[in-house]
Amino acid sequence: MSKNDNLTVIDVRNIAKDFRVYHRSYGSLKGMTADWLRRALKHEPSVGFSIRHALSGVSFAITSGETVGLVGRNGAGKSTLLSILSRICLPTSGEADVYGDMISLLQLGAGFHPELTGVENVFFSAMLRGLTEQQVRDRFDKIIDFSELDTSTMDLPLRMYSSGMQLRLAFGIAAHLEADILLIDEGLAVGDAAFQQKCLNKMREYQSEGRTIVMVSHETDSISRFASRVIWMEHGKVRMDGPTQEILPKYIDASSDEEREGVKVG
Amino acid sequence: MPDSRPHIHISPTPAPGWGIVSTIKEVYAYRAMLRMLVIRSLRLRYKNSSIGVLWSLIMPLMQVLVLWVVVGFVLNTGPSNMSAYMLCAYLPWNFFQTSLLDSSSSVLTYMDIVEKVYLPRELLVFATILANAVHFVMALIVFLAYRYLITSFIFGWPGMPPTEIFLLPVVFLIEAAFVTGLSLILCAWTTFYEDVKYILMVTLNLVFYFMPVLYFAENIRYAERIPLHLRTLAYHVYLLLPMTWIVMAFKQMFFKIANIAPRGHVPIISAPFDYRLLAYSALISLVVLIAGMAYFNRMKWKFTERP
Repeated sequence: MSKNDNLTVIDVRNIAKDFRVYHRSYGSLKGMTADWLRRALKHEPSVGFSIRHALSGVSFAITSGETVGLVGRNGAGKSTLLSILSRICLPTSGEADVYGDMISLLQLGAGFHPELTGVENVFFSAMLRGLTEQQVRDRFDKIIDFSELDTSTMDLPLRMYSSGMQLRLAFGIAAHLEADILLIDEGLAVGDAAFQQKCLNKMREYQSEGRTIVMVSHETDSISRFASRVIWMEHGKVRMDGPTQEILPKYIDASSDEEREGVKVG
Repeated sequence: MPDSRPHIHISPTPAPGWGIVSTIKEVYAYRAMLRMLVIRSLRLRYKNSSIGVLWSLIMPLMQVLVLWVVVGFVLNTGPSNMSAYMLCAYLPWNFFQTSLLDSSSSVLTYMDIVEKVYLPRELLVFATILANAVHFVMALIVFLAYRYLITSFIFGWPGMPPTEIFLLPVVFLIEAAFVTGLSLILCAWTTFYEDVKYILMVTLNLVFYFMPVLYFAENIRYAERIPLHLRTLAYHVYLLLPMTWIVMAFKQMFFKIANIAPRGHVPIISAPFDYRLLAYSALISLVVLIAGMAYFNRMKWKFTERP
């Protein structure tokens, strides 16, 4: 277990996020000029966009070593929350603190370029996630070993790889990053059954090392296997927050209820 | 709580003030990534061409050859070594033009990264400008080879450049600061409205003819279309634009004071290097750089929420 036992690593206080949903005409010079003229001459409010409340008043704290599953329907605000924690966008109001080295895997293989070779992509992608060049060099063999690729393949441009190879390489890089806190958005297990098992083992390893994991997933199966705690989000708010065995069944019930109702209405 | 762990504070307000200091600190912390981005863009540029980086050497040469045929040969304005003057003036202009064009769309090019991984977004603009600085150095080598090897075989040794040549790094830094400031502003605009890129392309085409690349700034002093009493004023106002002075300064750093009129015309003596304009341009560039950084810092968080 790590030395930071039971310390707060992620502290989210009353986060809200509003998005502007732009209408089709907006963004073009013509649409903007028309909008600007309407505002200036007729004193009408801007009609170029409407506001969508993606998150409103979200608060929770995560302590070191926890594995938290974020669940909720599409549009509940899970990904927006991870984006804010990863500093992709700023919240509209509220504050958050993150203590410790954090990497966010919002997308495996971000920064991959099809024209660059496997080697070049590994260096770029891994350094993008905060490794130093020396660290990448040290771990390089382990990465291609994990990805089940060989040295000759690594000198080919990435566009020649199959999508499975690309995914394995992306996960291979992700598995060798350095962090106390991991934010993961969807798709933990990639590739064939054997490779999936390897990915899951890597997750277990992270857990046993006392690292903190926050994962978004629609697969309640993997949530129940990994997460010790579940945060259930609905309409941009936290609906329930507690131990997995308590919250997850309720969430599953609710979703199947909704599904049934959906069928009735439809 | 005394705590040695790294700490990130997330709040609705970005870095306080203009964010200049925090940006510089952050970019410094990400310097290895900056290097990677530069290498990556250099690699990608000529990835699938057989002669690769040689294109960077051939392109400015071809460009100037075409210009020289029109200006030096057909129109016959300027001295006999006009092609060397033009190639020299083309160096800072090409750096200016390609840097602005490339960096204005740099955030859009890297949008897949910007939307998924945190990195200081200024880095993308800086990397683009650094990559173009590498191309500038290669073009500079082409120019030196052209002037001191190729043409000196035909026309004889041109003589050493004036002592102001030692100011070349300073003048280039002034230009780089100016370009970076402008690029940051243009990049922020282009990220929201791609129209900016097309407006920029057209504008740069126009500005090219306004720059003393195809002619000399000194020509304005003798331009017959400008009323006599306004010529000196026009000349000085013209040089107050940082880019015109930079282009002229490049010629002044590589060429001794000489007659720059075509043979058989009333002589025009090239102007000496002006240190007051150096100081003035440095100041303007610094202001533009700070303004660009402050503006970019204010806009960068909205990039992922663009319309």
